[in-house]
Order: sequence, then structure tokens, then C-alpha cells
Amino acid sequence: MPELRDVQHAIAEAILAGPGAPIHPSLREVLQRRERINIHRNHFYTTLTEALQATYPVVCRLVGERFFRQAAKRYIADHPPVGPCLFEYGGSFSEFLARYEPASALVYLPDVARLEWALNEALHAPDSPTLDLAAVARLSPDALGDLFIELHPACRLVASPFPIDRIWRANRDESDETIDLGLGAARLLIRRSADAPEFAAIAETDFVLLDAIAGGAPLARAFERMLAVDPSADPARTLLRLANAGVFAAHSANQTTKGGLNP
Amino acid sequence: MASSHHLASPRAVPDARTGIGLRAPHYREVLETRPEVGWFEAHAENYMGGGPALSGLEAIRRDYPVALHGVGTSLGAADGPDPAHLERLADLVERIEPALVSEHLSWSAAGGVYLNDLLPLPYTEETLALFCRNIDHVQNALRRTILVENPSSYLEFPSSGIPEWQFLTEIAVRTGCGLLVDVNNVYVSAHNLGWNASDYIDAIPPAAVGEIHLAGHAVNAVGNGETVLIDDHGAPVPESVWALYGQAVERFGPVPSLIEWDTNIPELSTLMTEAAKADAVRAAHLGGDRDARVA
Repeated sequence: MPELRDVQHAIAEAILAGPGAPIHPSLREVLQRRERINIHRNHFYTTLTEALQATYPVVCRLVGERFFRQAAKRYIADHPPVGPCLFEYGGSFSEFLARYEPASALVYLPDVARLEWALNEALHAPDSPTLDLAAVARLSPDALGDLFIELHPACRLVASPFPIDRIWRANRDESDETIDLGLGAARLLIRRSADAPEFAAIAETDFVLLDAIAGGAPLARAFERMLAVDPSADPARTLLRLANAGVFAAHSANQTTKGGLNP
Repeated sequence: MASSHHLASPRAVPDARTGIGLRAPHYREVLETRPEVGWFEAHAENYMGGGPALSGLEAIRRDYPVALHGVGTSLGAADGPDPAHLERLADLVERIEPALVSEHLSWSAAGGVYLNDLLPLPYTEETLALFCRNIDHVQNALRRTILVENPSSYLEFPSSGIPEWQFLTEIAVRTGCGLLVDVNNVYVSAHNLGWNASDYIDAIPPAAVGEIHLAGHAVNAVGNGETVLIDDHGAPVPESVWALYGQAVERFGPVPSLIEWDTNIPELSTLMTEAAKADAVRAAHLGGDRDARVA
């Protein structure tokens, strides 16, 4: 009998190999009724396919269930879960789809997947208080510029050259509406309301500001980026409007206290 | 930390009313109608994020006794439980203060890959020592004892020299953990591996048993007139498992019992009917037992 660690690694490999695959000789003497490894193989692929389907319902509708299952099988084999929380499984599915040759004609598919992953992340994100608007409003312009803030954990940004918001809504409602890809880019802010994730298209200026903040820029630099898009924009007012909407987290790891944000 | 996280002190799960495994399709109904259910058991791994899942469980926890049932700690892993996952479990246990915490006699991860299953172990002295070490580690991290559930098995290791019931008895003696006896799993494993289910129940030490699980299984024909039972939790509890439950109740006495259903999940009312049936079966067997004692 080999050591338990080696047995478990061999069984893990056998499960990943999928239903019907030959069984490695190292397991032949270790296991009795070894053809029943297929029960565990089926369980692995079936339950994880269902998990992906639950996270990516619109991707599934766009490609059809049969196609989805085939893509999922390849994805699961190449990217098995690394932890037991299934709501965290499948974050790289959009990147996989972007490289998945059979889906290459659906140019917007990876971006729809990114939107569905953002909705999933928003749903399960930790609960956290939002930035205190009054504290921000009290800051002097200089102090405001030096500030680093973060998006609320349940907020995400997704941009696409395709109208993925319309594609998502039409398929969520199971309509057969034809969507013109020429409708152009989508810039979406994903958030969690009371008990469900939701998204809305936002102005390019808002998106650029939020994207810079999410990327770790101090507010002064985020304001500059916003003004580069539209010199007539009002960054401070936009920031207060977004803070009022609960888009920012109350406390950030690298938040400066210069100017006394925390009284 | 914040007082908003404070919940009423934990309530014991009742042994006179069967509980129900809490599943996503029933959240809304449970929260909105507060049905007559004795207690709920939740899969710990579904509540390790934030948002409505966790706040829903906290709301349910205010009105019902709640147990946490882990499916991902991988107690039998040669690599040991993942420390990051164990920390999340400890945080959840601290937050929910469940009446019971349980896990499985199985492993789920190897080499950093999580296999989303409760996989079988060879019952050897090596495994016994490792398993007890891992339970000690988990019980220390959670600062409480856990219950360990017998798995449903399909595969067998020729090297398994220790019968499963003896292995379970031994881990309870060595670590102080309790046992969660899933009578459906006993039935499924006995059928699949040629054990005697009744002898299995008779070999479990009653004092260690802290909970009983009940569920249905699927019957798969594999040719030659042979069948393999699959523990899919996708059907009502069959008569054969009710009979084994009756035997278990007579041996173990009044123990908290739970109905599990995970595939083709029906209406909550169907699960409540199953729970009521368990209550009736238990009362009938305990009643007989008590009368016999009086006589």
C-alpha cells in the first residue's frame, strides 16, 4: 500500500481524467471495484457544470445547453476548483471563452461572461459600510486630492465594446429580440441592492473616475483622468454623487487620514 | 465586533422534532412565512461570503435552532485541512453560534485541487492517526467538538483492515468528537460493499451519536442484475432506510434527526411531510422502548 498522500493524488488525477478514461496502473492494486471511480468522475463534472450554469445563465442561453456543457467540461478539466466554496468557482471562465475556438464567432461572449461574474461577485461580496459622505464633504480640496479610497466590495465595473447590457437583459428575459452590435460600447456599474445584484449603464466620465479609483489612483489623479475625457466635467460633484449612492467603502487599507477623514 | 452581529444565545437542536437541510430554493419561503420546522441545518460553505445568503442565515438563526454542516474541510486529506478555509469556517461558527457543527469521514482535496465530493479513505492505522490529528486541529481551531458523519461508499481499498464502524468508534474515543450517523449512507454503503447495515448500526457506540441524517438515494443498474445505490439525496426516504432508522432510534435513543434533499429539490412542504414522518417513526420506536423499560 503506497502512502495515503500518493493514493489521494492518484485518485484526484483519475477523477480529473473524466468519465470512461483508463485507470492509471498505480491505482489498480489500491482500489477494488475501481470502475466505480466513474461515479466520482460523473459527480465532479456534473456538479461543477451545474455550478457554472448557475453563475453564467445568459452565456448558457447564448450558446445553448449542449455547447455550454462541452465548454464547461473542458474548462473544469483545465481549471479545477482550488477551494470548496462553489460561489467562488469559475472566475476565469471569460478568459477561457476568449480562447475557446468553437466560440470564437461570438465576439461578445467573453464580455457577457465578465458581466455575469461581476454580478456573482457583487452578490457574495462581504457586507461593509459605505464611505461617510459628510466626512468627504468636510475635506479641503488639497486633502481631497491626496485621498485614496476604494470601491465598496459589492461594486464592480465592466466595460465592453459591445452592448452587453442589452444582450444580457434580452436573454435574461428569454426574448428573441435581435440586438445590433453596432449599438456600441457598454460601461456598467454593478452593485448589490437589498438582496440581488444589479447593473446600470453609466456615463463615460463616471466610469473613468471610478476605474481610476478602483485602480488605486489618489483622487487628484482620478480627477485628472476624468477631466481628460471631458474638460467641462465636475469631478468633486461627481464624487459626492457617487459616494451618496454608496459606491465607496468606508475604510480602505491604504486610505490616508490626512485632512481628518476619520474625525 | 459590532453589536449588530450579536445573536441570541445558541439554542440546542431539539431531539423530538426532525430538522430540515436548508437549501437555496426555500430561503424566501422560510424567511417570509416562518414555517413550523424544528430546526435547520445549513452547508457551511454556502455562507462564507456576505450578502443575502449570510444575512438570511442570520435571520433564520434568530427564529430557529441552526446546525452547520461542513462539506469542504477535507478532514481525511493527507495534506491536512486548508488553513485559510478552516479560518473561514471558524469565523462563520463564531458568527452563527450553531448548536452543532459536523463534517465527514472523507477527503475532498489533494495537491491544491478541490474535487467537490466526499471521497473514500482506506481504513488503516496510518489513516486513523492522520484523521485524528486533523480532527484535533479542527476542534482546536473551532474551540468546540464536532460531529463526524459516515460517508456513502462505492469504492473499496483492499488495504482497509479496520471496519468503518470500528474506525468511527476509534476516532470518537481518541478525539472526543461525536458521530453523525447517516442511516441512508449506512444503507447505501452496505448495499454497495456487501456489509450488513443492521450489524453496522449495532456496532456504533450510542453515547457518541449526536445526530442522525435521513435521505433518499438512486438505484442504478450496472448489468448482471447488479445495482449500485447512489447517494444523490434526490428522492423520499425509502422504506428500507426508515426501517434502519427505527433500529437506530431504538439503539441510540432520542437524537436530533434531519431530512436532507439535494437533487430535484421539491417544495418545502414535501420536506416537512418527510420530517413529520421521521417524528412519527421515532415516537413509535421510542415509545415501544420506554414501555419496555417500564415493564
